[in-house]
Amino acid sequence: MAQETILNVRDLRVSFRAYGGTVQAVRGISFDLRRGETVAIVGESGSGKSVTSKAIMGILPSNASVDAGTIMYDGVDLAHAPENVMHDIRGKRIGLVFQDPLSSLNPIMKVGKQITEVLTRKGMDRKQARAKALQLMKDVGIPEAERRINQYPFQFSGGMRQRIVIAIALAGDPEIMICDEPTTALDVTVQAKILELINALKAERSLSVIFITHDLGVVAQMADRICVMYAGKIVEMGTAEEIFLQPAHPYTWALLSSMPDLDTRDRLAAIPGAPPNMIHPPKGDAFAPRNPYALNIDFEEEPPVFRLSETHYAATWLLHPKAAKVDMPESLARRIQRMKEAGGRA
Amino acid sequence: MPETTKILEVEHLCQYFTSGHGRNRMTVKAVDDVSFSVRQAETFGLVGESGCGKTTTGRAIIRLYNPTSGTVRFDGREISGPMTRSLSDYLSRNMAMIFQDPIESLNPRMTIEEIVGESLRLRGMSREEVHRQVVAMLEKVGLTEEHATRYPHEFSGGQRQRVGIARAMIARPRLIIADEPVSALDVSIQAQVINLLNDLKQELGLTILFIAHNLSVVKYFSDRIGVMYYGKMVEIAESDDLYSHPLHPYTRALLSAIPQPNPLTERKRCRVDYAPERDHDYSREKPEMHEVEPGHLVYCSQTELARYRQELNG
Repeated sequence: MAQETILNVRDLRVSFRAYGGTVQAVRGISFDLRRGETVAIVGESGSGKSVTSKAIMGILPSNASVDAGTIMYDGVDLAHAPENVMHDIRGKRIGLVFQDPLSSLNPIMKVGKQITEVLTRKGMDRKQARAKALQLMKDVGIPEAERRINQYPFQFSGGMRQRIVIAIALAGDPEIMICDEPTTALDVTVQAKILELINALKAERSLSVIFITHDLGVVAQMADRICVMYAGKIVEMGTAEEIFLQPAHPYTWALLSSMPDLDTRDRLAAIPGAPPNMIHPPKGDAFAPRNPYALNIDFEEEPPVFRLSETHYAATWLLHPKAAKVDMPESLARRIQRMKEAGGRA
Repeated sequence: MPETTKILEVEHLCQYFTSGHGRNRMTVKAVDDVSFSVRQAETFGLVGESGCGKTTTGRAIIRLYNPTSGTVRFDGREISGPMTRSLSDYLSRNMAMIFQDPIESLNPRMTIEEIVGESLRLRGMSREEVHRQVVAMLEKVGLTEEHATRYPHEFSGGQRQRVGIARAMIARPRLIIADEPVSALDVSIQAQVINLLNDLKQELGLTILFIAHNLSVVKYFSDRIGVMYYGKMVEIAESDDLYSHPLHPYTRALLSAIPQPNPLTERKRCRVDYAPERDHDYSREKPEMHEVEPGHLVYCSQTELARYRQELNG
């Protein structure tokens, strides 16, 4: 996989001013997005995954600031670009699909108008724009597009609304599509269809996708590469196979073990405690207080990023050459074995 | 009592909602002729997509609604009839509900002690006794005595759900109706709450009606599962049977849609669609609930029944 890098995030730091102090939401993350691939960002709520996507789009709320780092896209640093430059990129070259399709659509505007808005702003005349909007609605699988183009969002079901949002995101022919929990509000059967649609559109249009979710099942289906985030940092990064079959960070272990699969019978390995308060991030490794494998140094000093392979990186002291070798929990090892067997059968 | 005693029996339960008047009157059959039973100390899972009537079923059983028709019996006593003082008392002593949203379901102006102890106080228990029991229950769900004087906003989502569980458990109910108790929580917190429910179930010998849409969680947590589709119960089976031999085409579609955390199988997976018009021909025979094999019920016609039997044995 030596495709060109289309988006490059380097050492990004974002913080929020809030009552009681400054919340350090994103604390120095770096990753690349290559052309035609899907990078999934996985983490719990408050891990900074949505803030990352908002920073890329330049739609951070007014009490947030990018403290350091760069987001390079096509020679422009999106983290520090002026609004008029962002205006030409946002929605046109980078599309965004939000979690809740009802609140991301304008309830008193016909859906057709919401799709053509992007096109007419690009200078297309209204007739052409309407034809293109119809085509887009057909592409995202909305039946009877001619009739439905004149309807309002409330007349659509949740899945259909999300298809409209995807059509709007695609209207500007973007190179990159950021999907922020696009299926969390949907039923499993509808979710399956939307995920298939995103995969099909990605292949058709050679889109690069940043997919943000907390659902490991969805990640397994969508991602080429995965970034696991915890407390504003990427703790592990690798290809989907590396993260699921050779996870190296204790947080990834815990995340994988805490979710039952269809063969789980043992007691679930819950992660004790709760995520840290990001106004006062803990010293050292933020996961250490919840980590049964934590070493003394984890409470003192932040672990550096260790390279496990060309594509696989993890930030944990356990990988330090001087650290005693620790294996992943046995129940997880058994589960990975089951995954491999199921993969062989399928 | 033997393990197999049926503690909750639901027969032909219908819950319709109407809206509008005169010519605009509309009836929504949210739950339409649903029958199932839950055994003593078992966990019965109800799954289906949103709008299929699973929550309504739970709420009709605990009488947050007045059922349109059908009977519900709890431990032999009919609880679906007209609401009387004694029935209301019986229900609140025997059943409790855990809600999905731990923020909306806790009164923001009451302290945790008031929330958890409310049902005891209403029964005229003394202040000291309520306090003693609340603290014991909080400790059981993993909170401490100092939490008792705090307000809901001071807690995280997982802790709030623990409060919701403590409130449901404090009156020592025999049946818990848990409506999506973990869907609003983060993955790492979900596991904590599921483990807690499991421990309490073992310890107190609880019967649980577990309503959820996350099929992996339902499978892990339930002994038997009922699948609902548009107000109808379409399949009931032991959870292992349901996953290894799903019979109803909707169950198959639902199972094929669950994303599994395994990239090796996910990429090759093929999904099944459910289209009622295509999958069933009910023009000549009316479908009914049939027992395909002991303990495995499917909503189907005679022709389909024969085919399902063949599939199971073949």
